[in-house]
Amino acid sequence: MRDINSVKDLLEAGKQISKLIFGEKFESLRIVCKEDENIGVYTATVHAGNIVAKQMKKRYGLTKKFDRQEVSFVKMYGLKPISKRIYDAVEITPTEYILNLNKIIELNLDSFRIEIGYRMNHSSLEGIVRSRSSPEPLEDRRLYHISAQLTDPDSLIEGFSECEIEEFPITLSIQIQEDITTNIPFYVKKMSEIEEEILRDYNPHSAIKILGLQKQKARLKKRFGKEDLRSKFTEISLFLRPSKFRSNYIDISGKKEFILGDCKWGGDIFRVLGLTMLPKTMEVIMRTNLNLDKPAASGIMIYKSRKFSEDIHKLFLKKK
Amino acid sequence: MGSIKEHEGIEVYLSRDIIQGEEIPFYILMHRNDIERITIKLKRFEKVTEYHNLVDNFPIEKRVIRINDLKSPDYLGGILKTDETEDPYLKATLKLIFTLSNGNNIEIIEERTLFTTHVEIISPDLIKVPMNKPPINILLKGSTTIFINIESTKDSEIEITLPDEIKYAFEKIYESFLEGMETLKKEYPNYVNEIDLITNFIFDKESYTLSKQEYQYKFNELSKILKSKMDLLEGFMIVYFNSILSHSSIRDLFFGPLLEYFKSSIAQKVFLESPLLFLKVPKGGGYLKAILYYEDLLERIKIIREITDESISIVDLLTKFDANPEKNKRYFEIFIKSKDEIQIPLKNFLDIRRCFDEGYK
Repeated sequence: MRDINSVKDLLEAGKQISKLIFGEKFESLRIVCKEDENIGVYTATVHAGNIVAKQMKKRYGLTKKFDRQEVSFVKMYGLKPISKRIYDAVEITPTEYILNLNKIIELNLDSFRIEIGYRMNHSSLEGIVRSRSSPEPLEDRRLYHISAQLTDPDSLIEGFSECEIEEFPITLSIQIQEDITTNIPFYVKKMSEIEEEILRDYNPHSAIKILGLQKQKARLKKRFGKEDLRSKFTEISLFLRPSKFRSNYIDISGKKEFILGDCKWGGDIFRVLGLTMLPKTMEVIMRTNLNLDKPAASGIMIYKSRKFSEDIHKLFLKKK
Repeated sequence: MGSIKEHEGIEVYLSRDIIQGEEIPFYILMHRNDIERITIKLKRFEKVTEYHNLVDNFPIEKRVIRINDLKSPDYLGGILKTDETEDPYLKATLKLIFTLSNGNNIEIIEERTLFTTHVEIISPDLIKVPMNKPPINILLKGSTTIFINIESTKDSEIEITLPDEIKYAFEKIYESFLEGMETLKKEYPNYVNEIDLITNFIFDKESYTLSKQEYQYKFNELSKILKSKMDLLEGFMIVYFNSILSHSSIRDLFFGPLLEYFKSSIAQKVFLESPLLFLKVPKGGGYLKAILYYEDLLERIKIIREITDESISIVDLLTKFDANPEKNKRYFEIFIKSKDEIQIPLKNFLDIRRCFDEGYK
């Protein structure tokens, strides 16, 4: 089978399965967006209860194999008369899932549900969703505008009773570097410079210069109280941890069509030379569901920049 | 101030905080069934580049949409293209006219500001060092965030470069990295080509620019490509970190990046890409010929999108990073006079100021 590169491929894969299953079907496609991959979930809920369908059961006598590189999961649920997941309908080998449709007859199921989760390529949603997040807030420095919309909702539904895109992600990048640098006091920056200079100068003839730097350092040290520079930066880094940032400085305004997803340090954390403990940007993921009834969604994310700045500033106030 | 407007059963969404050159989505959700057609009128938005949910082959230049042209009911979407202009605060409007079955019209007008920043350099012909105040004035008109990079040209008599000790540290790391990669080739004979590619990609020996964020992008992209080859990725990471850690002091690893972080933020929403660069002025002085490159977040996002596009090959990516865009650059030439040979931080030459329009600080 081909790789699932687009929603069209997913529709095709769903139809292939659909051909194997007889009875009164309610088929849906859901595209579940996850951190590392999108899963296209084909679900068929089948009522085989009527006579025609019962006769059709004879034709089931088969199994269907799925390559585990292409398919993330295969599940079968009994709905009537027994209602539970039927684990032994799916055999798992190191490379394949084998769905045994004979189980339907064996257990004499009147209705059942089959779920197949196809791994979808990252770019598979391109073309069917257009989204935007404001690159930076310009009209109001706290607000980031986000929206997502389907380009062709009609084509998604083709042949299926329902199609939904779940938790479609939009990544917002918040520039926090300026808020950080402007709130770190001068003496901390100066101390960093002096430390750097002392470490840089290996020249034994510049002993006098080093002495001068050491004096400056001693003077500045009083400002730090009991702490030293590096423990101060550990404190700042901890303050900047994404989960804290997410819960203290991010909010959603308006219609709440989006939910708040993960948050992480963005950009320049990793460098060619050296590691920094201060992020330039914070990346926040906002998620929304789209379907035929709701083909478009919009929202506003609030970054509480003033509170963030104030709290950074507070980190440097002398503890009493 | 939301971006969505609901009016007599019609919801219209048009994004805000638009940077000139951006493509902006809009959508309309209709909760009434007496609409016969929708007329779109644009002012200062350049054109519609996409319609969503319209019948196949609907002409993109058409501005009147009959309700029958919608594939599934009650929804129309689209993308508006914006132009780059001289006005850093251009006002643009989207006017939508909904014609009802009784012949009446409902008009909805959405006005947006399209933002950009213009960069001007005002520099004297001659500078004598030492100087009292920064002689090169950079004036930014507009509100958008700007990233600045300054490079000397090949024929410049004064070189803009990294301090020697940083260059030296780079060389050490580079050598160690090369050695490691050679060992890696022996471990993974099947991946020799990939390993060569990575080596050239990560360390471009010609440009030792410490803070070019491109390295970050490059690295991210590489790790993504390497994800499919987990075993190779592991080996590569070990080599990479070893070469950095074994040749770096606490100064390089901690204080260097920290100072760079503090120093790169030079004015409100202005970042200098390589804040540690120096001017190497020879004895007696010489001509500085330089180019200032600048980009806004939009251009930056474009790069990120391109590199996260899996269909682009590593080779194409490489060429993209090498090419500096033709637009967004300002050339300047100054004679710098100095009695002695001297190294001066580039930052000391720059006086960067912004002018905002009232209401957009």
